[in-house]
Amino acid sequence: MNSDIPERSPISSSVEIQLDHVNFRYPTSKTDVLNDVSLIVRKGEFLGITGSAGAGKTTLCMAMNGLVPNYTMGNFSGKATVKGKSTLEHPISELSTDVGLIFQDPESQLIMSTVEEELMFGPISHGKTMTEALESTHYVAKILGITEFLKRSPQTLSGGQKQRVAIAAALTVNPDVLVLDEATSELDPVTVQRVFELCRTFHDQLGKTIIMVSHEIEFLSEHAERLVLMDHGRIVLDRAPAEAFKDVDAFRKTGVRLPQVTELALSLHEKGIAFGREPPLTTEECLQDLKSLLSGNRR
Amino acid sequence: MNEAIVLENLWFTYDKTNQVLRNINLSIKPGEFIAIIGNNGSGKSTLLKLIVGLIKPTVGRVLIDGVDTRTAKVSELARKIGFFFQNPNDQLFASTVRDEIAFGLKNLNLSKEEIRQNVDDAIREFQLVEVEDVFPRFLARGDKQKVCLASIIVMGPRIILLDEPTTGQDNRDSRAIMDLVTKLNGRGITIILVTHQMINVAEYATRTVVLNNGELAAEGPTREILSNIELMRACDLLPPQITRLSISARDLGFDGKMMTVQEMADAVRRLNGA
Repeated sequence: MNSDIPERSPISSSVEIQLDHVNFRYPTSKTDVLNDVSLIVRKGEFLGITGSAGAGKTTLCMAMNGLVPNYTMGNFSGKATVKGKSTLEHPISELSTDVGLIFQDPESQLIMSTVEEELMFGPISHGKTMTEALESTHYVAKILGITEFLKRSPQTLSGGQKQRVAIAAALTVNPDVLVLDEATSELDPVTVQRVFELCRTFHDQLGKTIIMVSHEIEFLSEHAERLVLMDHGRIVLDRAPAEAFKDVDAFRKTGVRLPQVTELALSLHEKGIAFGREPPLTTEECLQDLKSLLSGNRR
Repeated sequence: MNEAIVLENLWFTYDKTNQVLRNINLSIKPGEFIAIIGNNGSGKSTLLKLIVGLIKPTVGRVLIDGVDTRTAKVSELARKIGFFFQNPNDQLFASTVRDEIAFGLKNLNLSKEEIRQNVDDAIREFQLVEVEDVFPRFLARGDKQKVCLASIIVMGPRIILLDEPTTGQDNRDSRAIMDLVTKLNGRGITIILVTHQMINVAEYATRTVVLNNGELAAEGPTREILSNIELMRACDLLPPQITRLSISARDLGFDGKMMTVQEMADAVRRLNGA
């Protein structure tokens, strides 16, 4: 874990997003893509969501700011609220200032002629001055390593570079809740790490609520305080990562792997080697457990 | 026997100002399983396009089974190399799985019976019997990828290039596609895998090539490359978590070159006296 990152701010009791028995079915699908999903996300949480392909993760993200069912239509039932506002009664334009959504496909989000304009578009649209917009643009660009692209057209960039620009564009708007829907899937591992650490900084220092949908289970287990596992439109687990990983069967059934260090600990347990009291979530925790094991003292 | 692929003093630029690839020299033997890794923008996808002949070198040359891509016909290269795209929708266009797999074969002057036999074999091998009449784009991503691989394999290529085949996939689909690729490699087909997923590199590739800012930063046995933490840091790469653990645990007696959880578990048991 990055030692530069300060202690986490406490999670507030105020609710940012609430889904209550939500069901959703696309016009072309035969089954519900969301099946009786209830979820409360509180202000200041870092929530990780993972699951098998087709589990409903993207649809869940779109239900969090009203894109489902207001833009992507279908058969919706139940209730979804953002800061207490029903997504059925408030326009997406209003809800999107509270909840910023970053998708897997950067092409769908990049519209301006230069990267700098792309990053400034959001803050300017939300009433920031040019100076403020430029400041946040350069701050985020530096962290995401895209400063050298600021004057280039987004269309000239590689897929991974475009994705970094799309993430940066959402971050410069500074919404209270950031939802990243597999937004790091095309990035190299070091940039993935940087994006997770950036979100962590936004979370820890600015109290932002982060909802990260990802298959990057090692990064999720290190950064998320709570892990939601989805399968076939349902939430099958919703616990702190250390608790969630104890339910190995749930992960095996959904085809989602565990972090390698957690898998190592569980594998050794199965062989009768006691290895820490809790499954390790990070390399550092696992190293401590190894030291304790080989010196005869358990964590 | 010819090398499967030779890259000789290879330079490439799209716009004459930015050199995307600089002086790449590399030989790949038939039947190798090679991973190409590097951060975003390091030139990996460009290198694949050069190998398959979609673009030609600015300087230097690419030899495929001894044939220079600058002078070879596209159809000649297409018989030797299969290209597996990151997004399966980029290569699916027929109205049924059966037609998709048969499409390439129809250009090879084969009889209808030979085509039918080849397609039947591929459908069985890739377990597509139940969906053979389905519109390929309606399939789940994992099945779409099987159709793409089947369409490539029926053409009998000796080399398959895979550009990020497991990006955005869950572990089950990722493993399924990698196991299929491994099976094809077992038949002697040369595999070139471009990926960011270091777990797959560690588990499947025998040799790894590292690109950094358009240059070949290193190449060698995967174990040596992924455990070289100084190299990985210099190229902005991150070894798999279990490899990082084994590097951090060198002081405890681990060799710092573990590639899989199973290897690490075995080492722990040995050191623990079990």
